[in-house]
Amino acid sequence: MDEKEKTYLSVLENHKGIIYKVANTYCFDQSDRDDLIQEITLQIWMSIERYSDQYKWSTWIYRIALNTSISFYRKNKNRKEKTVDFNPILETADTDEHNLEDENLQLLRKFIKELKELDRALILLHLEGLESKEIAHILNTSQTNITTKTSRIKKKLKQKFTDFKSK
Amino acid sequence: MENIELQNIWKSHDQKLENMLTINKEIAVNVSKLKLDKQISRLYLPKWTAILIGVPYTAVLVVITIIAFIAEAYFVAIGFGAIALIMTVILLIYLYQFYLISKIKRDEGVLSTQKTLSQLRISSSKSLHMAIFQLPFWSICWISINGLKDSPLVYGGVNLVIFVTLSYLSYWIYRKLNDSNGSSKIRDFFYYGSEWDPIIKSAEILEQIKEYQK
Repeated sequence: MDEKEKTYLSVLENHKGIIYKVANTYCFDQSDRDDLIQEITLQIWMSIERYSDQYKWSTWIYRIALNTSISFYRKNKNRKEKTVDFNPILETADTDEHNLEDENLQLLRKFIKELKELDRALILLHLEGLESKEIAHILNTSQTNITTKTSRIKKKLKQKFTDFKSK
Repeated sequence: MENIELQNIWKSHDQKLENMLTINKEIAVNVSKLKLDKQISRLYLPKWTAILIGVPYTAVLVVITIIAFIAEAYFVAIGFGAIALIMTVILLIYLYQFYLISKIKRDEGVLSTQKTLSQLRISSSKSLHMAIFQLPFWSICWISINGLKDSPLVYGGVNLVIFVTLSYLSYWIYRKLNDSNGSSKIRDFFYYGSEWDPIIKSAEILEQIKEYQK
């Protein structure tokens, strides 16, 4: 195994959660998600030699994963040319992972999936606990924009929770 | 619901997820290597195909224009010359976009990368739509100078009407093709729904980016 492969696998191992969560935020069904994970890992493989240590690995992974996911989403939703002809790169130990999620998390995921693509990226980064400065860096916009948008999106999500619970 | 609650809900699954996820290492490496070739051919093949067809087609048009000009068949020269010019502009735009696509890096800022990708997607289709403007010039190619001399009003008038009608028709089709709002039978004729979706999606992403850059 050469150096590139070692770094690649170590990056995937250390950031598999990020890759999975981003893909899960943009894809509704499992085969699409597996396909998107393949695309993200491919982009990581293609870009890994350009990685600069001025960024944290996680920041760099978020950028690749979000750019690939938004582009993937923009493509035809009914793609005939599915690229999943291998076993999934990331597998969950339990097939029915939703059993492990509480109702609130499932609702939160559902509400996030109803947001626009860029809002989804922003709220995902916020919920992951990133500071607005880092989010601004990943999305490359101003910190003020991030703060304003985050606050609006959170308000929207909370409203969705309230509406749902009051039904 | 407090601010912190959303984050707590989100984080509640994190540890379990980390433990649940496993990487198929062998597949990860093999798929990336295999898909790399596929990815490159998927990106470049359609564009090279268009260029490989477009360049000889334009070259033939240029040759016809030159021959017609030498033979003093000026309407033929104007018609084919205009078509060649339109094709040349389309090919140059296409080549420039080809260059831009090769420069896109997905490890750069999300908004700027998505903006470039969306603009490229839209302008690629717009430049191809320009090909419709060839239509009126095909009618010029067949105008006979002798016919014009013999019957300038009737022959010339009919050809002028045909040229103006086709020009308007081209403009109308071009607008219909580029109108991203609502449905269009003209667009449906040229595109399958699945081909039009990414263009619509690109326009939507550009709108979203504007909101982030206010």
